[in-house]
Amino acid sequence: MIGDSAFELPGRPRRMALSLAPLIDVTFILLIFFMLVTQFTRLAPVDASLGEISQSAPADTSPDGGAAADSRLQIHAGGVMELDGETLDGVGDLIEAVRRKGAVARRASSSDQLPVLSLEPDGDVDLQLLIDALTSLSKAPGFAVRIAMPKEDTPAP
Amino acid sequence: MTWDSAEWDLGGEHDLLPGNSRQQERQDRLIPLINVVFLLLAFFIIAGTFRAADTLDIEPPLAETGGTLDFESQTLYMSRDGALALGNKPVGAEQAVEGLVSMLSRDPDSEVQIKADARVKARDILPLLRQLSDAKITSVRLIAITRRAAP
Repeated sequence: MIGDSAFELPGRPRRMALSLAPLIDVTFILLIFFMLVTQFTRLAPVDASLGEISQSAPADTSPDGGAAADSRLQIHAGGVMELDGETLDGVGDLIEAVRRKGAVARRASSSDQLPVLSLEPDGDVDLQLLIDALTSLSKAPGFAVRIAMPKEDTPAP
Repeated sequence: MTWDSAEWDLGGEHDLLPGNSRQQERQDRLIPLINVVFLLLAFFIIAGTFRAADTLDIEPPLAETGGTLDFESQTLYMSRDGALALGNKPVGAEQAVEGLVSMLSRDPDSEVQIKADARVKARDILPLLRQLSDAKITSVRLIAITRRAAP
């Protein structure tokens, strides 16, 4: 019986023809999968310390008598901020004002403890604005920044 | 070795047969396509990151910040309407705080991470922070999308 081998040259190794079509199929499927599931946004944390709403007047002395002047930053919806009663025109003014305050507070302070800056956002302030304030304040060191929370029975204004 | 067809045997022993020769030629023309597809594949694998889909629909705030997330710690999710989820489980505020406290008692080095929508109002998130503070959690990490600093 004459088989396929009858047409082959003797001694020549038999090699399979490699079809590329399945390879391309699988590669395209992998490519589509990775295109759909891959995310390019990079997430990073913004550290925030929590504290109480200060019941004392702005720039009050600390309870330990160290004369570290604490400050309050009130954040209103629309981006208007008040640092110890001084109105700031958004986040842009904030860094400069906090640097100024921080320098004054450091001169007045006799202890190594940083003065506390309480962030007091109004109830209708977006988280984005709060994050903007937190990241801006991290560029102006000199204060221990805390997000001030209302007492349980007093809702945010 | 390169992807040059001259160096790859793709059925070259049948070149004398006209049908297989055409097939060989067609396959050779596909090789640059495969090169490009493989490069794209490598790009997506290397440049991208894989994360589990969030339980809630959340658009995190933008921030000029660095640092890395702690993927071992459980993350508390807060959607725009104030709904909460711990990991992939929807929870109430008290359950969320209990879950985070038990996470910290199991692993004191873990971090409390909150991924909240950028449009969440302070009146919604401050009571949650209040409860965390009452549970002796005084430091949290708010998750944001990294954006480049303005020049």
